[in-house]
Amino acid sequence: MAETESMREYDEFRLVMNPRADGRPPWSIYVDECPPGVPAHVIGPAGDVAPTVTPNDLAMLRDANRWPNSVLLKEIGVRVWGSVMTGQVASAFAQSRAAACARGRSLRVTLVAKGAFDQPSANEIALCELPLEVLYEQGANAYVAVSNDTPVSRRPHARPDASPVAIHLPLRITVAVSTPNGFNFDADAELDVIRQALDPLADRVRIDVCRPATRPRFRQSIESGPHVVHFIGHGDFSLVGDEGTPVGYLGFVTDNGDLDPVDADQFAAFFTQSDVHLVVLTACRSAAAMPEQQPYPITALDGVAQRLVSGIGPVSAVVAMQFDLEQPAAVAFSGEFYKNLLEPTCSLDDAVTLARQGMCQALPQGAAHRAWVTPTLHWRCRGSQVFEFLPPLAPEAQRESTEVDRMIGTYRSFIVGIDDEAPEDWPGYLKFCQKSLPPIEALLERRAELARRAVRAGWVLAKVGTRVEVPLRLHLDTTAPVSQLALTVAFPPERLQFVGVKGLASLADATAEVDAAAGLVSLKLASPAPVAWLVGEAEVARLVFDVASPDGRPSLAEVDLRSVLVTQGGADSPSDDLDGAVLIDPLP
Amino acid sequence: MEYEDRLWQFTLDPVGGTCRVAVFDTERELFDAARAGQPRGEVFRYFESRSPARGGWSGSRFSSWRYQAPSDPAVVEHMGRELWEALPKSLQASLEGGTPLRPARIKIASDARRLTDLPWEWMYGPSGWIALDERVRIVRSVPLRFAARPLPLTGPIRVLVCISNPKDERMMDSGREIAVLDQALARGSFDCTRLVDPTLQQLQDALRARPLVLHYVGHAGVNPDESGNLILPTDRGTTYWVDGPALVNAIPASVHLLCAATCFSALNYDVRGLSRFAFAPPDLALPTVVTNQSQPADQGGGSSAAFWETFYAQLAETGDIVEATHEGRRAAFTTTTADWGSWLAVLRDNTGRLFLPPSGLESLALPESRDDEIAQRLRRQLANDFARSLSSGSEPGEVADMEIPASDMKSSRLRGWSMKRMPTSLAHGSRARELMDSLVDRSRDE
Repeated sequence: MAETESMREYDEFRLVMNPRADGRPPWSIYVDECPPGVPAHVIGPAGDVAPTVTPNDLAMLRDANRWPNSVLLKEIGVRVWGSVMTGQVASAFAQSRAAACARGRSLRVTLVAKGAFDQPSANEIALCELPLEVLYEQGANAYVAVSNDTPVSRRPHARPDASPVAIHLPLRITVAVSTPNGFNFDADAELDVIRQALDPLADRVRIDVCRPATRPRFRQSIESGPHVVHFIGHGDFSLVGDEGTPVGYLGFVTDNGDLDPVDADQFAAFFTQSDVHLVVLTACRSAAAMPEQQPYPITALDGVAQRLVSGIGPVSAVVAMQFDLEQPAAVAFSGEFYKNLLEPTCSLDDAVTLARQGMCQALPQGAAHRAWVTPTLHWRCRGSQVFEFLPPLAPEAQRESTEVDRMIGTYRSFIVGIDDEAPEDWPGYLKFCQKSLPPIEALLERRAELARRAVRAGWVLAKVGTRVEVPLRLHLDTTAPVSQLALTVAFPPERLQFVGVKGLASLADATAEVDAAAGLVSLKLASPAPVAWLVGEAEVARLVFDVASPDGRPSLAEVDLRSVLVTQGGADSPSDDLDGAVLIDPLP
Repeated sequence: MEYEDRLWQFTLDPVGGTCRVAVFDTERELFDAARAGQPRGEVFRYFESRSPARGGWSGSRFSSWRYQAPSDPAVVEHMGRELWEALPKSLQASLEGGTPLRPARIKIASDARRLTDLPWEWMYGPSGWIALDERVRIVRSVPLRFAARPLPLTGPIRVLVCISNPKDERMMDSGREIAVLDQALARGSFDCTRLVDPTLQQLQDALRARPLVLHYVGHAGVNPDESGNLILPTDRGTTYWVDGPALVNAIPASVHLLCAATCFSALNYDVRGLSRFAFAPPDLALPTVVTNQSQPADQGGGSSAAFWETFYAQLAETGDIVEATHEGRRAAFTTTTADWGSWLAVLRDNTGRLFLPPSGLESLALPESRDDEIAQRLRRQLANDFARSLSSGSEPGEVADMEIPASDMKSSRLRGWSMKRMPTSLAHGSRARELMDSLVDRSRDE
């Protein structure tokens, strides 16, 4: 469904790190996910590590006056590497990178860091404070997180669980600007650069500015239905009012312009009944999980970013800052981030990585400043995207299609969970999921009808070891002659091996360019002579796959359609694309 | 036991910087109100009086209580009075109307940690401890739009006991912890399996025996996103933090009750992790949880023994988790410490019924097979998923009534979760209506 032409494909290298029961080091490391092709035994416990990163390292990263200092930054990066990449983990990382490379993919490095502790001591850091983004690989003489081949991000849980949310363009972004009295920074520079970055996309993006960001005004903005919220302003993790415990907060303003701290819980409450799925916070310490070292009476674990993606609300991704973010850095970050956010070839972590690179280039201190380390991405998305962008619709159709999309998304999320179930329950689950395929198909048909011009793939059940045909259906609401259909199909190559395509109806000439390792097929279905097309839906081709299940578990292999062009009446027209799926049954 | 249900829904009002509370009779009312965007309820002023001089408590007071329950009931009583006095009058009034035979069951729900962390069980009203009153039951709730159905139960209640004592400096006395549970489970019809210091994999293997109850005893931890963890050992002598999603992956559908108990023989590393685990987001299919919100002051285990003995005896007799928790608290109260309020029940199935006693089985359409049982559960799960996804957003859709009569259960596999759950705009759209009607017809033909 994504609009991408050649979006970078990713495998994931996911680490789950656990501290001791009291939250302190040493940390035990689990390799939770590797690309296909890496030996199965690599996944699992990978040793314990006593972190070599020190509280002093964190203090230096937090201290704006220490930078630029390329030597120091590299040293900290090496110590972060030593705190994560123990022998087994480093080996798993190397194997994963090679396997991803062999598949023509990048390797997404993600960290699930559990736990924390109160009363930090002088010689220990908490796992959740680990600045993974500065990871430096000495062998490659490079920072891992600034390479597009190895974006670094964080996840709240080992199992990502948020499906992309289908939205109709334009993407609605609310930028909240807060400059409380006494916090004089030039928010206009950042606001301007966001506008400039998005200006070329004016037909696809709508920006609303909430300024000054008082609580009532902000709620009003959220109720207007944005998909993305960006907060420009002050943030901190410290004592607020007469609370005895430091809290993470964002600095809103009162009616008279004074600082009005909004803590993580309260900020999350704004989004409870909203459509906001991505939040960007260019506020200092908005991703800090704990306060700086100081005595406090209770574990303070209310990081704003962490709370937002905890799963209680709709937000599935947050880009936020783990340290202070100087204003020029904020401007550089936002400009580059938004320039790429809607690029068809760019995933969300790609956009963050490009923003890191942009900061290195735009700031006079370059990569020697810790500014590029500061942004963090916390997300729970299954794929690369928070959103799937769909063409605009008429208001009535949009309302209904939103609901249909939500229902389809609910079905999809529900069925994806099947691979978590116990083997003895698989027959029951598969039977139930199989029963859900016809209503999904019906919903997709209705969805295509609402889109007026759409190509959709079918949802089918297939046994492991068999050959399955996934139908492609074209829906049109006009009768202009159709001569060609071009699209890209992405699929998980470890589960679906592409065999071929059968052109049907009048588009019988089918050609396919296959990148089997990457799981991509570029298809062209053509007719020797344009033929009039009946209004409505018709099957135009079948994608043929061999079905496998490397882990022997049931799963949902998604058949992702992209960049659909229908040549209708002699002109190429982009079309809505609705993904299909193969529900894989491993039972004999 | 039949109850007069009242659902207290607390929400943070970020605009006012305060909390609001609304009262509903059913979960359905709550979801309908959420969909309509109203009402936000009355102001709950507890957090507006944080200054000690004005009676509230600050973070430091709160934290000292959180780590160790006060052994002096007078301290707890003071906290309980503050909570009670902060309640709007309408909430106080909602407690009235219960009788010993049909108590008022107060389900307290919120998705804000500062509210779920409050020790509601220790509310102290004009006539004493609310939660010990025979006319009132105090429970927590993670509300679902569609209620789970109680299980039919034949044979003993299968309980898997998991004692987790990771190798650290705060070692609990596993022997004493086990002895308390052995005694508690000796009465009633229980088929008990015990695991001591299992790894996650060993726990998963043991869960294949499909227990009805999983009883965890051990430490807990909290993540930076405020979620809670149970803590298991690994075979390398380290720890594995098990969060809600990880446990949901591990437990089979058979588990309808999770007892997540803190150890009493050692100070829990972060006892908050237990209740925060219990309040995991509603889309996680965790069962109802009975857990501790504070460390029992009685390190001899007297209060724990009293609670669990009575809890399991009552559970075996009635299958009613709410009643079992209530009676357990009353038994713990007799140990004279303030520990009794440490135990809370977090209903994640609306009903709090583990199973129905034999007399209640006649009205149920029982699943004929394991597949039917799974289908029933999945239908409900999917229905709740729909309820959540369609009630959020700035342009919410209407969700039609979808309660599936028990008599329809077997034949409504498709019907149950298709047409009846369509948003109104779909249900009344002619094309969509035709589509779903055809699906219903097809399902009838099956």
